[in-house]
Amino acid sequence: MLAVVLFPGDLFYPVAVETVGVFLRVGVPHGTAETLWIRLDDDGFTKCRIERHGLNYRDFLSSRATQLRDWCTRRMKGPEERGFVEYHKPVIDDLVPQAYLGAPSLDDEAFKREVRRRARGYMANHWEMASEVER
Amino acid sequence: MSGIAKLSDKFHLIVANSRDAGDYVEGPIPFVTSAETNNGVVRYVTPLEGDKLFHGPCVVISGLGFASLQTGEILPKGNGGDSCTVVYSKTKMTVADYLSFAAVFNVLHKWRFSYGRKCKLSRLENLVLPWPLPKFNRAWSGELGLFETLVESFGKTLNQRELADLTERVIVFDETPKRPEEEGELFQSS
Repeated sequence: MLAVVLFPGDLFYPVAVETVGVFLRVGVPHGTAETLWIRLDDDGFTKCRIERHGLNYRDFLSSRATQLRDWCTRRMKGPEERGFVEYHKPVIDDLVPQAYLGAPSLDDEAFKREVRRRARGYMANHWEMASEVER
Repeated sequence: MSGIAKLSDKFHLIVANSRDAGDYVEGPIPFVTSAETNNGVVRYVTPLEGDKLFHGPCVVISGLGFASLQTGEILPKGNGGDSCTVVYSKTKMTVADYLSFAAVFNVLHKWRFSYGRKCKLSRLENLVLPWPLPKFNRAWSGELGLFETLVESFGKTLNQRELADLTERVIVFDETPKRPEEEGELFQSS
């Protein structure tokens, strides 16, 4: 098994399906070799109404595609990016990038957004609970 | 000094135990599921024998890897393949810290879980988080100020419970008749 790529959840939008691409060399046992694990959380497409549009997705994905090609054809390692591109030996049955990639560094803006969402969710629930008690 | 910590080193992770939402009759206890709306609460139910009731503050991580802050008494979904996992800190943590934890978990780890790969104890234990957890600032937005005010309004009750023994915070529901005063304690919401 050369590489496993986790694609974005919207790859086949509007069908919601989790998709992975598995790159294998036919007829060669895996042994103890490393596998390239990639998480593509953004493929350069944006959703608009019920369609996805990607104006420059080829440029957007070229660095990841080059790294994948170099690894699969010449076993040449590229730079690792924690949480997105890493090389590890598969050691457990869970053969998906979710099990092997580390935690990416915490993005401040994403953290701020999520804290606000969770606070809103918590308060909305309390409002609902207070209404239940009143009823 | 900031670093990282394994989830199981810093938190108690407890798997929920309950029936399906449809098995319950209406009642006072929030039933927490994988839903992301309304903080995961889909119904208010009366627990059945053998259910595990949890007392917040805590974070509930759903089968789809969605973490939500919970306070008061809750019954998280605990049947089928998508049982919730309840997270209690091993050290003193305020309600605001639990909110930060839920946000950090969702940003860093929610992507790992889906219908095809459910969130379970063995997949949670070894995940890492930045440690100490980042703090939020109420000046970031109006709702965070409101959140802190809400927590402060019943903060004494919540914060007093923080260091309570874990056995006091996880109750296996028993349907055997209780004296009225015991029953009152069981359903008392914070």
